[in-house]
Amino acid sequence: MRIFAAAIASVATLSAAPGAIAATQPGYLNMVIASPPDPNAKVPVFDAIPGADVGTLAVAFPQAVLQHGNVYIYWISFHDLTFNGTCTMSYDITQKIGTTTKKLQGGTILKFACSSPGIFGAGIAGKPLVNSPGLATLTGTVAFGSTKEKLSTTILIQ
Amino acid sequence: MRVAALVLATAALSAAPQAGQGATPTGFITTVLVGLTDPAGKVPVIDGVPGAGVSNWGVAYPLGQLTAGNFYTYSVTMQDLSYTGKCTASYDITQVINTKKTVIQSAKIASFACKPNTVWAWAINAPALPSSPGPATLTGIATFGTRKTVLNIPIVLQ
Repeated sequence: MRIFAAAIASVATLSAAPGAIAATQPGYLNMVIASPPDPNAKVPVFDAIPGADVGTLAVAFPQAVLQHGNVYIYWISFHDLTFNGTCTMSYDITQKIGTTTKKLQGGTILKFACSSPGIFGAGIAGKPLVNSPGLATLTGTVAFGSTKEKLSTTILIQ
Repeated sequence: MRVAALVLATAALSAAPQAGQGATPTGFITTVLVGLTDPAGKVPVIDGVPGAGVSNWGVAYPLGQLTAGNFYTYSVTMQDLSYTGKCTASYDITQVINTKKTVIQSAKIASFACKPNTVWAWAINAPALPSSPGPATLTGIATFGTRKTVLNIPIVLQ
């Protein structure tokens, strides 16, 4: 599987100002998406938009309606505010069937050394999506050491 | 500045409810993001990555920590599965202050005519962020007629 990863170690706006408040968590997930793979392997990508005067992220258009049998790229990005250590990024797709929540797909995207402050993103091509039509939940997780932060979004499998 | 995208889905999407899953939503919100406003005005952008083989959405680095006085650009992406009619995209930042939910900043980004099997992306440049340090929630709201889908992301203001 191909892993897409990028890290930006210093962002000007992240410098702690005098009197800055303490973050309540080590980092903040801001994106978990499924999108089609790029046959030209240009996206997802950081800093590839010509002429931009800020750091940039470009991803294939996020999709909420996913077709079974298709392969998607699962991408997570987060803002590390205070954590230095091992970060592990993962995703899973779960579906509630009756009273049971079943995991349809998922796995680790990337395990790496986080340094704060920074913005990180990584994605992975999942397996062909199983045939399990209906609403499901796509969840991204980042483990900052032993502290986990999650972000979930609703998807529809067809 | 506003950016809009309309990309026809490549696969036929079915709006039929799935057995055991209840009614299928007519549309979904897929991301709500905040990043620095680009002084060069190059992002947010649709298909801004040269050579990409899929439609793509380019934004400034998504942030989890925002600083009072800075200028940020907020974006919402959404997918219309089966709805024809008026759609809207909006965002707000809220905080709980003395047990009361308080809106720090908000805007309706777009009101537009949407149609099935499309994906959309909208963005707006906001005024300077007011000073209100502490944990907050960035909420993206996509409406499809009277149906509303929401995505909440924890952030911190300093």
